Amino acid sequence: MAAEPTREWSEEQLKSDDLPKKDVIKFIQDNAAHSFLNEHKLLGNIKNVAKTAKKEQLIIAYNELFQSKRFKGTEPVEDVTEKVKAVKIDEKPKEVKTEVVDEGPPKYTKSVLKKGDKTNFPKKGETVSCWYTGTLEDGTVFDTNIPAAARKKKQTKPLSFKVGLGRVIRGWDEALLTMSKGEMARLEIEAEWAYGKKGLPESKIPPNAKLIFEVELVSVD
Amino acid sequence: MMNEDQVNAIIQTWRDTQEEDLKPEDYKQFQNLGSTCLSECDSEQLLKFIQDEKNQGIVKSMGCVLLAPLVKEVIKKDKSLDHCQAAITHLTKTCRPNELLCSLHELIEDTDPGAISETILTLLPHLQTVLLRLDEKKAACVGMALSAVHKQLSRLPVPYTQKQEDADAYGLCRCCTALAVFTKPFIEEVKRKDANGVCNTEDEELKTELLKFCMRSLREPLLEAELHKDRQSPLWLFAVEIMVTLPAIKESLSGLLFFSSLRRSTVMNNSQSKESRACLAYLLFVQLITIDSFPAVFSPVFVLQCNMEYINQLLSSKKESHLLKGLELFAKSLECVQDNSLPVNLLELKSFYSVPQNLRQLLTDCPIHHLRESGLQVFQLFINKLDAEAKHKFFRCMLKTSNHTGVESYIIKNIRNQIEFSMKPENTNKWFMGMELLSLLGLVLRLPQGTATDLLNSMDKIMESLNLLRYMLIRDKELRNNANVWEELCKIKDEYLKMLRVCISISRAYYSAELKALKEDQKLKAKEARDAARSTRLIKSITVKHENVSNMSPEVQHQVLQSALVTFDLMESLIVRIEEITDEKLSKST
Repeated sequence: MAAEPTREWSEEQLKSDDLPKKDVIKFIQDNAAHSFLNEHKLLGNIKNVAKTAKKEQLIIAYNELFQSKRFKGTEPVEDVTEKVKAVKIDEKPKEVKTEVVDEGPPKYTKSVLKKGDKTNFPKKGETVSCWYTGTLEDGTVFDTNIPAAARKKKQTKPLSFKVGLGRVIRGWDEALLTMSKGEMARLEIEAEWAYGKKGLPESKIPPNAKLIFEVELVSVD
Repeated sequence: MMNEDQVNAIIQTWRDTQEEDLKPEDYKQFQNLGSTCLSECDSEQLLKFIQDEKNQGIVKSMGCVLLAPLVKEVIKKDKSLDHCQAAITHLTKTCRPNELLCSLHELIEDTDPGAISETILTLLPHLQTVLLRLDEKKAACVGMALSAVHKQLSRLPVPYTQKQEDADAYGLCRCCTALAVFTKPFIEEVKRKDANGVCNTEDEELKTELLKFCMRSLREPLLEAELHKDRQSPLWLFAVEIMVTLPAIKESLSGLLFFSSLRRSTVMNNSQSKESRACLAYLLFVQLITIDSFPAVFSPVFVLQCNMEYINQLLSSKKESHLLKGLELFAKSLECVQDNSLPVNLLELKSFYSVPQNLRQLLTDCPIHHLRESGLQVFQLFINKLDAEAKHKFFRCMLKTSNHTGVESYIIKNIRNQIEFSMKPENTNKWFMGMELLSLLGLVLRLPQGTATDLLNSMDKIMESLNLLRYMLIRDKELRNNANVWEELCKIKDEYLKMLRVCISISRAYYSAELKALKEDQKLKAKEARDAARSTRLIKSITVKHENVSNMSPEVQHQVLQSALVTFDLMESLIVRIEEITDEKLSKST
């Protein structure tokens, strides 16, 4: 647990007009437990609190804080309420993606081969279109949507899908969100964010295979 | 009957008449002359007539009327085959395409039900010839032709075994092969135009018609057929043709299977189209046709999610061919997913609710043994892929909705396995080790009908629930870690066992009484038989001791009652064992 906060101001300094209400409010908000703030009506935007709270009230609250020692983290409920505040209620998803549990390091690397416009980045749920070629570590090409003859590319459509929704392997979902329109990148995706232990045997992807993709982000919805 | 001179005179008249002056009677007469030729086995003369330079005017104006008799002749398969075919060929090259199409359509519509495949096989090549002559409206005409032919084709029974396919008694296989040949030039045309980037509306229309053809064929006959890559039967080859046609007309398989709900046309959105796409999914993912050109970037869970719609469609059917494909598609889609990974919110999707329910119904109601066997395997596979929370929810759902003791006992076995799995420190979870376990146990360890419970009917479930109890008591160390859980568990157990004991004693009393009555009845009957044998009375009296006269013989009745009593003994001995273990543990800890 963090060390107990120390008094910043003396009684005299507190009462002085030179000390703005905002500073006192900020200090209390930064250091007091949620329930303490709630009781003393010190929750919310500092400007708004400053409008409604009188200096005297703030001084009383400040002193009470140190007397009661109801600092942040001293109440077990604290953690839960913090998390509750942070969670956004998503409406019932039609899209279901597998839960992202761990926050470990990304299991892919990206090297930019051709810069994009650095302006149009896809957001989750938007439709992206890509040309791509997928190879295994040994160089075997297991998949591509780029037709062999260059002229045929006009009649073929790039692969389109909604990004960030778990429709494609995780490596793709994560990487594409960092790419901008026109960008071409080389992605090396570890098996865990590709086809994992099972692989995809009928598409020539063995188990635990690291996949390498050259992806060109053609358009963003 | 006319003589040769009269015939020649009429022909000369026709040669000299303008087409617009020809009357319906002329057409009729021409047709009659043709038919007469054929019936007199003089097809050669008819052919000569048609090919004669001088008669081209007549042929062009009235030739179509000869199609019907010529085709009939070909179908009969007599010696005159070659001449007739040559005659038809000439007609199809000379007469006006629209008129030809009209006549050919009529012939398709009026197909004799006993000669469907022969008619289709005869007409298809000629239809193709005519359609290739069209300049405009080709797409619509191709569409109509394909539709008309398919209508007749779907009347043919689909062969289901290799033997049947080889025999091809009704000609379906030959017709499918012929259809594939028929569509080739149109597909090539579309491909060529695409490659040169010159597709216009007409070409797009043609693509649409070809797409409709593919979708129709997937549903009928392919969905009914047994298709296996090891056996490259004509229907298999037809399936491959369809799968190859789709990308040729620029229909991506991923578009059709995963994103079709976004599509505009009526081709896509109804249960028939769902059947077509279900067949497509099966051919792609299970039989692996053209899988190597399918994008290898979609996540396995997404693929499973999309396929669930089709699996649901297939498992809702009562046809063996559909169910088999549904089970295989389900198994294949599940295999690509990691164990213990499917999250609980997937179960909120309609298809993820319906499919297991359909599967459960298959397990309990389907009369076909191998389907039930496969169904059970897939059922377990599905369970294995759910994560802990999802398993918990699924088990609760099954226990509440299945109303079938066999299914319930299977679920309880799974619960036991999950508890065992969760006891390992790396697998611990609150769903099978914590307070949540109790909501599950509440559904397992209960007798909703109380003392009126039919123990024999619920035997499987009860025995399995007792096994679970025994297991938990033996492995109590891990479960006792949460004192609240253990306390509640003991409460539930005590109430359950109390009720169960009451039920057993009631049931046992009833069945014992029945057994006794049966024995008494037997004794009485035996005595009567002896008396009747001794006496000379002609009148025999038949005594009926019980109201419910069963169809079973007394011996069988006896067996049934005895085995019921044995069952109760079994249950009770298990309860006794459970209480023994409880006491053991109690004495150990004190």
